[in-house]
Amino acid sequence: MPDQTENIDLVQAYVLDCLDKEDEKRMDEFLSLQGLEGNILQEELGEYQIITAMLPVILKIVEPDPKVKDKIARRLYRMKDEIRKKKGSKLSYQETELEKMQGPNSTISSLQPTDFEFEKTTESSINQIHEFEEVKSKGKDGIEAEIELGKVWVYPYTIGKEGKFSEKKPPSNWDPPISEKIEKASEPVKKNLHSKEYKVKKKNWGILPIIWILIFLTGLIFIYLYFSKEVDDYKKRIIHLNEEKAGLIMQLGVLKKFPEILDAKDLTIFNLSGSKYSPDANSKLFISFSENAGYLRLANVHPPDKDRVYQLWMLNGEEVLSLVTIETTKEIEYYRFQIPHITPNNDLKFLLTDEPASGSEKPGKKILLEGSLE
Amino acid sequence: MDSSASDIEIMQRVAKYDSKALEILYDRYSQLLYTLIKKIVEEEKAAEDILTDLFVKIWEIAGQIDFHSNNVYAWLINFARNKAIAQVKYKRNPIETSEMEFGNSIPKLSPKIKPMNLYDVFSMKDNIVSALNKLTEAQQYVIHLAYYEGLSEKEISKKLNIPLPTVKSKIKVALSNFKAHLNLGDS
Repeated sequence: MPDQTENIDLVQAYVLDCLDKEDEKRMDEFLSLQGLEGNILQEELGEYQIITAMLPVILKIVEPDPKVKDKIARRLYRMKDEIRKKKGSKLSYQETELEKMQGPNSTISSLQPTDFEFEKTTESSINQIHEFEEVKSKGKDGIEAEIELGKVWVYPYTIGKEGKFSEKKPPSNWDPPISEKIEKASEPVKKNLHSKEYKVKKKNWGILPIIWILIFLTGLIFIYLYFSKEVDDYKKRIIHLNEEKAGLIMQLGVLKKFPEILDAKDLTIFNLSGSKYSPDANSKLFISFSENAGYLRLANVHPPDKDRVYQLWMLNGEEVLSLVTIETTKEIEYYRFQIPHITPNNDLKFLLTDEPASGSEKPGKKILLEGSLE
Repeated sequence: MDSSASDIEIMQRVAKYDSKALEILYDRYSQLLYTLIKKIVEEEKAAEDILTDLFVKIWEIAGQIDFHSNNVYAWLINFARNKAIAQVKYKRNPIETSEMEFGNSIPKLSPKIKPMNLYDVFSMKDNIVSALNKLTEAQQYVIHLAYYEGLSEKEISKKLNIPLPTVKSKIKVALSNFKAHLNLGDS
């Protein structure tokens, strides 16, 4: 491994993030292995990180659109449940969020429920906060917000400065919610319900609500199980699609360079045919010794078993060279590999063998494809 | 939370999910970060999206970063640059830009980096301009290509049609001279 002095030469390019991947990896490894004490490289790195971070200061400052701040606020608001989980259940409100909501300008701290700083509250007030949040989320759009808040929540409760709930008298022109009207209208009926006669009757019907609740709960469980299965299926499908996507992207990357080899003057094409292990399989090898590159195209080759790979070999006289180790998938048809500098003999031969996942030093006995120059 | 709090105090509050602290951080840094991002990606809409993502990401990960020892200024600038450069690289070559590069936008600062805040840096603005002007045009240009265009040494070599070792040497000398002209030790 190169020493510290050698790596110090790379610091400038490292902080500008313009090192080639190999050098960058080498620096990362070196930095992670070094202790902090007396490490000149870390000090040097820190100094250059500061000076490169100074570069943007000389730019002509451009202001972002004020809407960006609102956009961030909305994104944070949508993340509130996730953050709440991280922080536990310490919920309470710092100040009158409702007043803020009714203002025309939303800000990060007003839109984002600041559940995080507040004092401990009781479970009931947490529930009230949830109701409040629902209303708040509906009511981000000005006037509509006031109507919603007035109907559902503002009266008779409000949130105090310290996040506590208190009663507040409604104004004279306030139209109480329908639920309250019904409540008032049903007061005489309620009185009758408290009579002795009713209580006797009630006992006979006492078991019915429990049955209904049980039926309801059973229904909920079924719905939950049904949707859980659906969600699991979709998750599996997403994983599968992502794998397909990764394979296709990889394939696209290989194919993008494929035409280059077709222009090579010494392009040689080898046909590989299937053995008894894969009678339907066939393959073509496109090789250019001047470009030191080759492509393998596979068709009708089943993916290797778990913990196994396929390995392509070149037999040049007595010389045996491993060219590439591959895990085939149905999405990938073409594989690119490099060819070492050799002088090819006339008896050049290629094999595709089944090997352990770590690859082998020499070809195994299970040969899937083989071919030579015809 | 006081808006005059230091960068480190603000980030420590953000790490505890204090939304007011995040708002102060936004008010303090959004202009510079947006300027840097826009310089790199050029398009206004893309720059706004990256700035939004950046602050959302800060909110998500601040709790995992040690802001007792980190230089908040350099961390934010690097974070914004990394995100913008990842976008540019992806646009330039979507196939060869892996998801890893997108995921690796979180800056890796030296644990020995010295603290510095926005006001310190802005107070040095004239000094920075002067130090940059003392570099040759070629040195300024390689810094520009690496820092704002996200080109690697090999790509710079190809673009300028000069040998790779020359590019390596130019980058090394350019930043070393910039550092020497800044004379940070005395400031």
